[in-house]
Amino acid sequence: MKMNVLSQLNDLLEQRRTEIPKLRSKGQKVFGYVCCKVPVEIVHALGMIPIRIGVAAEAKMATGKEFTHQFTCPYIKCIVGEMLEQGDFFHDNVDVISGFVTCLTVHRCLEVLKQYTGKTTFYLTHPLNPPTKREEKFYMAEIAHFVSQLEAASGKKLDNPRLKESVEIFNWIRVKLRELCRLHSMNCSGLRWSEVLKIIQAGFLLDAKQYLAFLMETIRKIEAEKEELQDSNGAPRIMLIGSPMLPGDDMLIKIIEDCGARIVADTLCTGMRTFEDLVISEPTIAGIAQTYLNSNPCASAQDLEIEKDRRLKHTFRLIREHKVQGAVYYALRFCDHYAFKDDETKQFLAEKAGIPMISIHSEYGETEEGRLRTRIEGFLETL
Amino acid sequence: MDTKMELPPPIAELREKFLQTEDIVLQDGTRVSPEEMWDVACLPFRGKYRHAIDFRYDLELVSVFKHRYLQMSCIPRIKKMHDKGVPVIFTFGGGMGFTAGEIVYGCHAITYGLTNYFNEVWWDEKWDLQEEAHRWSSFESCPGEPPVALMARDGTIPTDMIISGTGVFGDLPCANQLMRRWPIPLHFIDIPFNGRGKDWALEYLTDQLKATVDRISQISGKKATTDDLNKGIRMMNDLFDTYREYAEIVTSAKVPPIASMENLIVTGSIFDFCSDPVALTQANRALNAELRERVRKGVRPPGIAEDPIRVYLAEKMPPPPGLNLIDDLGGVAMGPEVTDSYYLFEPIAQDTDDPCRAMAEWSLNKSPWSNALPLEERTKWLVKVLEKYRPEGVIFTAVWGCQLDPQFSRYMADEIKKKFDIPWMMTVLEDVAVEFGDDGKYHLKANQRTRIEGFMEMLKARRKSQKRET
Repeated sequence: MKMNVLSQLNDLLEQRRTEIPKLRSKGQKVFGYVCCKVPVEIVHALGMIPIRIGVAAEAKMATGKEFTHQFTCPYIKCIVGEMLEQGDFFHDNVDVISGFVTCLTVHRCLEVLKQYTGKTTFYLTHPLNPPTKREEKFYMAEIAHFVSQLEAASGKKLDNPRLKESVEIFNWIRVKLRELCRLHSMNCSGLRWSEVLKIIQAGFLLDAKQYLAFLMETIRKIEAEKEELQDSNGAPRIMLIGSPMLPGDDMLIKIIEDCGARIVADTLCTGMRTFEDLVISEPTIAGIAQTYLNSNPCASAQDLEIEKDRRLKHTFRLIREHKVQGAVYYALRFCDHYAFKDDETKQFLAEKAGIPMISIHSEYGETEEGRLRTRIEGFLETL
Repeated sequence: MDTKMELPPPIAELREKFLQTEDIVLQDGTRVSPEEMWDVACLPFRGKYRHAIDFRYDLELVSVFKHRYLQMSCIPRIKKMHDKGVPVIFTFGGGMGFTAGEIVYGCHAITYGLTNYFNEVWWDEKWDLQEEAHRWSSFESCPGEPPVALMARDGTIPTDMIISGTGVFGDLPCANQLMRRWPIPLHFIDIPFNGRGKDWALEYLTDQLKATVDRISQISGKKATTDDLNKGIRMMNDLFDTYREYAEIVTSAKVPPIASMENLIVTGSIFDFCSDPVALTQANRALNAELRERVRKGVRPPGIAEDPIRVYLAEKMPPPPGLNLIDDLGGVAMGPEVTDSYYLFEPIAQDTDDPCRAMAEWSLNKSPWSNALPLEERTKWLVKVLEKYRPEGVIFTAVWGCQLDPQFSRYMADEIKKKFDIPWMMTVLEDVAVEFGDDGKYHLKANQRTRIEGFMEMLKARRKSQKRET
């Protein structure tokens, strides 16, 4: 089952990469976005192709650094590198650039891309305070502004039936991804986390309907074979917390898995946060805004009281739900929001959840493999 | 004053001139005589803040000793105010950038910020505090603000509240939440990114500034009225007027009348107003009068060449020995942008019915350095500044770990080069930006020296070749 699913996925991704240029030549616009909280259902409803920009690659980081700086996080350097390197898939195929702005680095990244690509670029600003009536009002207006910019870029007017249809498709995708993760967490998906993550991240590129069909089929197969796939070898159950891991940045995950542990959940914006808490109950702009505003945030969110910290509460919920025994905290270099909060998170997890955490500061690339392996082995021994 | 204190001859001579200058009246009405100011400004000669005199200064300029006094007396003045019941507020993320000064002073409180970092860490050689601050936050944090936060935590500076701007200040908001466990009340202001021209962003920020006023009022026990807040705005606008005047004198003179190191002291005072905008306004006025006189008489600052190469400091500035080096190599450093951009702006609207709205309006739409503003706007602003300063080259200095500045240096450099055809050098300060010499003093690190030397040589060669062409 496993090989079948993964090879099917690779084929779909390959096909999609050749299909997108053809769709563009027929007039469809590609909307490249940064960050996981861009309301893709609106983009989809306007007939554009939403794709999330970014693949971890050292060569792209080098290009990105030319246009940003050594102090810029690798995630952004990769995105900038991909968008500015001729011949790169994203450079060649993205028509409109946008992003959900939660930190200054993402904001500046979009400005740099606007300047050097000359492409239509606009932003969606997210309030960093916890949502109250004041934040809701701001965000509603911000989303409405975002919609007007999307309409201008697509040359179409957003209509309710199409929006409803798109919301429904993406809701189903999120439901199915949650189901996939639940099965994986129950040790009966037959997949490793690196493979589950690959499935999650395929949604960054694939056509929504096609992706949903793939997910439904995969889950059907897992359900049918779950008795045989059941694996209860007692491997430590690990959760990943921290900075984005772009497609291609799987070294740490593979080390954890090679060392005999099982990753059962994550809070990454390139992983489970792309669908957790994002099922929209009211298929309107207001409903979409409400859902995104109240979904679990990244470390850039600013909560005055630690007891009410949304990110930590969400992490705690997943720990309980997935029976996590240890956490690996991944802070990309110069991803300050995560880099600053590792000690605090470690203390919180120890006090509230009673689980240990190891903090890994790293960047995309394989030069650190030996060091990481030693640290992960040591951590797993303590579990 | 300890009159037996041995001062180097030029300083002793300067003292006589300084004692002829006017008193300064602090915000609380306390009058400070030149003798008292001199006593504090000369602390480094008695060992306190001793590294402040590792560099070469313009010892013919009298008024800057008032700035030195205001910088070095920061903590005792704050403590005195605190003892008198005035709330003390650490504005994390800047006394700059989000109009904290106007609000804090309008609410009968006082604020402090980065001046204390330079005093305690740099001049008093407490690099261990910087190290501890990195351990507390991250080794990738900027060196400046976290140590000041620890001074608040440890009570080195009595602190009744911490106000932090979120979002737009690079790595600073990342440290906000590490203070949640502290007993000091914490308050956040979320300045929306890219909020320029958006009514809803203006409303959002205005509401938050009003909430900030309420929060400070709770601490002070005194409700700040519209008049109080307008007074805070006027107080800060008066200060910025003197800075604008200063910049005008520097930019309009044929040869800038102030050497690079003195310029750093004056501009550095603006970071957090030395916790007393009223006193700093007086110091700036005295300085401006002295500089005008210099220009009128054609007095060149000591150590500055007859026709110096004008170098503009974009973003931040090289460390002090680097500024001496620029002078030594026939140049003069002007700026830096970090202070110019805050204070060469259009003032905040005064005496309106809604001062919080006026402050929010400025923060989102007018402040040229606000990170809420698009880079395009900031670059346009820098173009205007460079038109005034007419530099032959630009040194862009990024500070270690500071996520604010480096990310757009390429963007700005490309635009500036297109517009002015002048060289732009990008440098990065290391976490500890100076090295210790055998003489126990701070010196420029070799990499900075090499780069500044190379850059200045290039500017000289360029000037020669341009002269040949004409």
